[in-house]
Amino acid sequence: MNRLGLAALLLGYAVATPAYQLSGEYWLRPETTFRFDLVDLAGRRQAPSGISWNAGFFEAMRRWNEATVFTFHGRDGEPHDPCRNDGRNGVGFRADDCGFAFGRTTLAITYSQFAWSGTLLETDIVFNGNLDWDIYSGPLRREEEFVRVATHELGHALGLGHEDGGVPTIMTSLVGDLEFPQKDDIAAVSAIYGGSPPPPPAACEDMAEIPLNRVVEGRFEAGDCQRRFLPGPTFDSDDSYLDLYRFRLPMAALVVVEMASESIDPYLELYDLNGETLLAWDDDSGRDRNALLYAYLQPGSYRLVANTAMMYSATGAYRLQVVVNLDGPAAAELLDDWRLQIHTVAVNGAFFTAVLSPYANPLDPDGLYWRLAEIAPGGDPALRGVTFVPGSKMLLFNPVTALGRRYDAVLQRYANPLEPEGWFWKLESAWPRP
Amino acid sequence: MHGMIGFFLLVLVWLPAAQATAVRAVSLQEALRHSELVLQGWVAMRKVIDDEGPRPFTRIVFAVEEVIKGDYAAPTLTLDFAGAPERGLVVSDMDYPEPGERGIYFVESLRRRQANPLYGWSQGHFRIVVRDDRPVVVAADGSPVVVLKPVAAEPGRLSHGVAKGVETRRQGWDRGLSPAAFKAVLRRWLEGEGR
Repeated sequence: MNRLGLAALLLGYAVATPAYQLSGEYWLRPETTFRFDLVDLAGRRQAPSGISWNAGFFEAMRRWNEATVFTFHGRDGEPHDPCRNDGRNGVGFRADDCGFAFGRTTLAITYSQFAWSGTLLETDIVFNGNLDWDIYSGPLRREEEFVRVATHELGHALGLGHEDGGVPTIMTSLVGDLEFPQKDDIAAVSAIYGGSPPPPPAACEDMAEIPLNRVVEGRFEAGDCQRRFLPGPTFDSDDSYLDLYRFRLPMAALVVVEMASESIDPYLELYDLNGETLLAWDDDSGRDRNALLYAYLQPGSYRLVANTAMMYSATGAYRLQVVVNLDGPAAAELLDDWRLQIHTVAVNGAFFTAVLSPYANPLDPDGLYWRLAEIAPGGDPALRGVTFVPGSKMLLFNPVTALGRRYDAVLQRYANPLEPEGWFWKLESAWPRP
Repeated sequence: MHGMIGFFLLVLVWLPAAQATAVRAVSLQEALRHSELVLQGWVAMRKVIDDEGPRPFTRIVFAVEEVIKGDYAAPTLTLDFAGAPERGLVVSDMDYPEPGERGIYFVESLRRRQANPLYGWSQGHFRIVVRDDRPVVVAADGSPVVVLKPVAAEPGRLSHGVAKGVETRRQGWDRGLSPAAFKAVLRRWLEGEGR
């Protein structure tokens, strides 16, 4: 998935003016309490996912509480019929809508009782219990997703109207993809209740130091920083979790960063330490849609954003590694006859030794080319410095020894029209190590 | 204690109320397929019923001009809608047919009393507006319908008022479909489904 494409898609939204609609009713103070003890019509307290409906409703309240000045309080274990008008807020699954049938298309209804002044006194949320509900993150499935509909309905409960101005908001038909209140929703709440939205989660300030050449185990989970909190004009509606890392490079070198996961689709960005200049990014260059980026960097400190390619709040574990061989034995060397001897290279998870022979390309006499001459399983996994990029098939050397010194080098895969079946690479860049 | 105060306030003042909904986005073809009755008609009467349930609701009587789908021979059709703005019980997103309004209505069920009896709420509600002496079908967004397309709604999306497959143009009055053209498409789709 190309996140830049999504960014471009959203760029128009990002610069759009606020489009929120207010219902005209509001709470006297920016807080209210819901009572509930959620049980679906089959008598289950838990969604098929195993998460309790109560926990799901708490999560929906949390999304507003953390994003806005409004606070929803929850009292679970206090069942309250949402069809009762008694000055208390209730929520529940019902087979009917307080005497009316839901019909085939109604998911949930929020009732709001208010005085003529516009002051809200009670809101009740009725979920259509005849539908199949579940609690999950990510793309919508056949089952309706409870938490994002609850988040949408709570938006109504605090005084927001529906809107379809083209701006990303949890209150529009786009709710299918969005799981959290968006900037426009947050601005709407501020317009009603004043104040500034709470600052981004503390996790957005945490930047763990990642040692070079060591695999770091990470995990995306609730409470992590989310993409929409990062500065910048794009990704306004991006709910994806991210972790921030920093690393220090003592000398100029080609750095390779790999992010792998079996449960999420990794996405990586490399910035200067302040996060102001994007130096490199990658989505799917690694094996099995993992992220793998490279950049030739000057000595200094840098910021890594470990993220997911999808724009929803996917959770899961990942492994992150910054690879650069600063002073260990090189994993590759240029021999006197200009053959490239590769002592170890990982290809799709297995380790190989290989020899590349120099190739005089008649179509490009000035270029430096090599062709694959030998490859065999083997090598030393601890020996770092040659990376085969599955996506582009390029070879990264950080470093290779050549002509008595160490170089960082990038070899681009070359589709040779003269020998379509052969494996060829062309030297794209080389930097001598200090 | 706060709950009791709220309750007394409820008793002491006449309380307007708002409702908001999450309605699934539907395609017009789906609305046509699952509506028990599709008719062209006009709103002959609208009144509030106070005494047939815990909350007041709105009863609307339609004069039936033409049945596009379904078996219905009576000259009028009575449908109940949740809420009653005249009594301060307002349903957000409830697009009540107005007295005197002409339109094309997709009625989901003649047997069940639904919060909104029109299929997909506003998505099953089309007004007929005369513009420059020409009748034009108008969708819930207030714009004339210019094209009807046989597309599927994306599952899980919430409605934003206009069914999928209904293309509108804000100032497309000269291109707006006439009721005859609108109904011709619906009938063609019905024939395609063997009805």
